[in-house]
Amino acid sequence: MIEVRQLTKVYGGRRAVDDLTFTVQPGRVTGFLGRNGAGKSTTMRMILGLDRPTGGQSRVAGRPYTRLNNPLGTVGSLLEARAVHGGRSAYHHLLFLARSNGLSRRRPAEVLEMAGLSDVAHRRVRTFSLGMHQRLGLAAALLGDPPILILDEPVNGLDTDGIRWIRALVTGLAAQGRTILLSSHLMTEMEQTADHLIVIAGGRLVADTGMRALIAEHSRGHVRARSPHPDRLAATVESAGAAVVPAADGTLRITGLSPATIGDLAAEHTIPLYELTPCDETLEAVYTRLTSDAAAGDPATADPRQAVSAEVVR
Amino acid sequence: MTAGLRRAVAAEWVKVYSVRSAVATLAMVPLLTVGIAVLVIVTGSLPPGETILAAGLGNAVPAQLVAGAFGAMLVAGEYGSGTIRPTLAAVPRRYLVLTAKALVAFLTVAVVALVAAGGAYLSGVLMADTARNPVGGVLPALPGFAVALGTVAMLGVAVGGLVRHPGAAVTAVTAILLGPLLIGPLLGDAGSGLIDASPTAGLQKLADSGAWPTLALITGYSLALLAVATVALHRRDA
Repeated sequence: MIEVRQLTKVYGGRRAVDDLTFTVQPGRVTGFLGRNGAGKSTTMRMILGLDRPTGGQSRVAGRPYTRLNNPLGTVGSLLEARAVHGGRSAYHHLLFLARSNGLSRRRPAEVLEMAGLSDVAHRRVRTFSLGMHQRLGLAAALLGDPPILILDEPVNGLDTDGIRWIRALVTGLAAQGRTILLSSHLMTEMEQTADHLIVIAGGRLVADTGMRALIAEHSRGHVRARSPHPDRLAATVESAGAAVVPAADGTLRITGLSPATIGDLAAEHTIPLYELTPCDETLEAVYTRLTSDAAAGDPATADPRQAVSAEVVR
Repeated sequence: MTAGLRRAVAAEWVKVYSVRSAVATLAMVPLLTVGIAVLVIVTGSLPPGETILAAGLGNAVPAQLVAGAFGAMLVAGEYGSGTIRPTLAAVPRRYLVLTAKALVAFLTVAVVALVAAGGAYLSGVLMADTARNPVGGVLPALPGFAVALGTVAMLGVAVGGLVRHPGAAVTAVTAILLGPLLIGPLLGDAGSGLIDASPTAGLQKLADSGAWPTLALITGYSLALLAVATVALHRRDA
C-alpha cells in the first residue's frame, strides 16, 4: 500500500504538487494520470525519498521510504529509464543494485531473462534503444521481487510488443496481490491496463476513482434525438430545463434530461421521434476536460462543447 | 562495519570495476608515478645526494590530480548520468552511499598508489646511479604515498558530493590541489602556511618522517569536507 498525505512540493514559489492525498491499494493496477508537468514525477520522487516534500508525507508499506530496511525488496521503481551509466553493461547495472541490498548474485540474470534482455546483458547500455532502456529499468524494478511497484511512464518508447509485455506483466503482478502505481499522460494507455485511476492537474487531485466510475461520475453525456420537427422538440425540452445544441446532421444534442423524460415529453406533445440515443463521453474526453478544467482553475467555468466532439454510443 | 555499509561498499566496488573509464583513470596513477620517476632518473637532473623516491614521488602531483578526479567522478559522474537516483532509491540512507564511496575511493587508490610507488622504487633500484643519487628509504615514502593519494581521492568524493556537475567537480578538485601552489607565493607568510597544508605538500615531505603530521592534517580536513558533503546530500533533492 502507498499512502500520500497532503503532499506538497514548492519549487521557487510554484506549487508543483499541491496538498495531494491519495492511497494506492494492493491487488490492482492504479493509473496515475496527468498532463506533462502536472506533478506526477515529482510526486513519485517524493514517495521514493529522492525529493524532500515542502509539506505533507508519504508512506510505503507503512513507513516513510527512507526508513525502509529492505528498499528493493519492498518497492521496485522506474523513474527515468535513461538514468544509467552508458559505459556499464546491463548486467553490472543490476549487479550493483543487487549488491547494495544484499540480493543474490544470480538475481540480475533472472530479471534480465524476464525482461528479454539476456542476449544483450553484457553490452554497454550506451548502445541500447529507448525500448531496451525501459526494459532494463523494469528489470531493475523487479530485482527485489517487491510487493509494491512505482513506474513512471514505463510504456514510453516501447514498441507494440513491449507495450503488450508490460500490460501483461503489471496485470499479472496486480493479480498476485501487489500494489502497482503506473503513471502516464495518455488515457488511451490506461484504459486497457488500469483498474483504478488517480488523476492530477496542476499538482492537485482531480479524480481518485475506478475506471467505470470515472465515466459515471464525470461524464457529461447527452442524448441524441432525431425528429421531423426539431424546432418543436427543442422548444419542448428546453422549457423542461434541458440544453439543446443542434448538430450538423439535423439531430439535436440534448443535455440535462434522461432519454425516458425526453421520450415522455415528445409523446405528450405528439412530436414524432425517429431516434433517441444516450451518448457518453469517452474516457479520453472526460480526462481531457478534467485536466483542462483544473488547469483553468474552476471546473464550473469549463466549456462543455469541447468535450462533445468525442463521443461514444452506449 | 554494519551490514548496510558492507552492502553499499560492495555496490560501489562493482561500479568501479564495471566502467572502463574508471579503470583507465586508476591505471593512470602507476603510469604517471613510474613515468615521472623514470624521467627523473634518465634526465640526471637531480642534485647529488637527493634520493630518487623523494624527487620521483615528490613530483607526482599529476598522479595526485588523477586520484582527486577519480574520487570526484565517483559521485559527480552519477549525477551526470542520472545513476544517482537508482542508487539512492536502492540505498535511501544517503550517508551510507557517501561513506561507501569514500571508503572505496580511498582503498582502491591507496592500493594502486602503493603499487605505483613500488614501481618507482624498483625503477630507482634498477636504473639509477645510486652512488650519486640513492634510491631512498621505503618508509615512510611508500605507505605515505598511498595515504597521500588515497586521501585526495576521498577529498574528491567530498567535492563531487558538493559540486555535482562532473566537469565542475573535477575543476574544483584541481583548484584545491594546485591553487595553494599558484596563489600561496603571493600571500607571504600566510601563503607558505597554505602551501604547507596543501595536499601536494604531503608528497613533498614523503622523504622524511615529517610526512605523517602533514598527511594527518590533509586527512583531517578531507574528512571534515566529507561530513559537510554528507549533510548537503541529505538536505538536497537528488
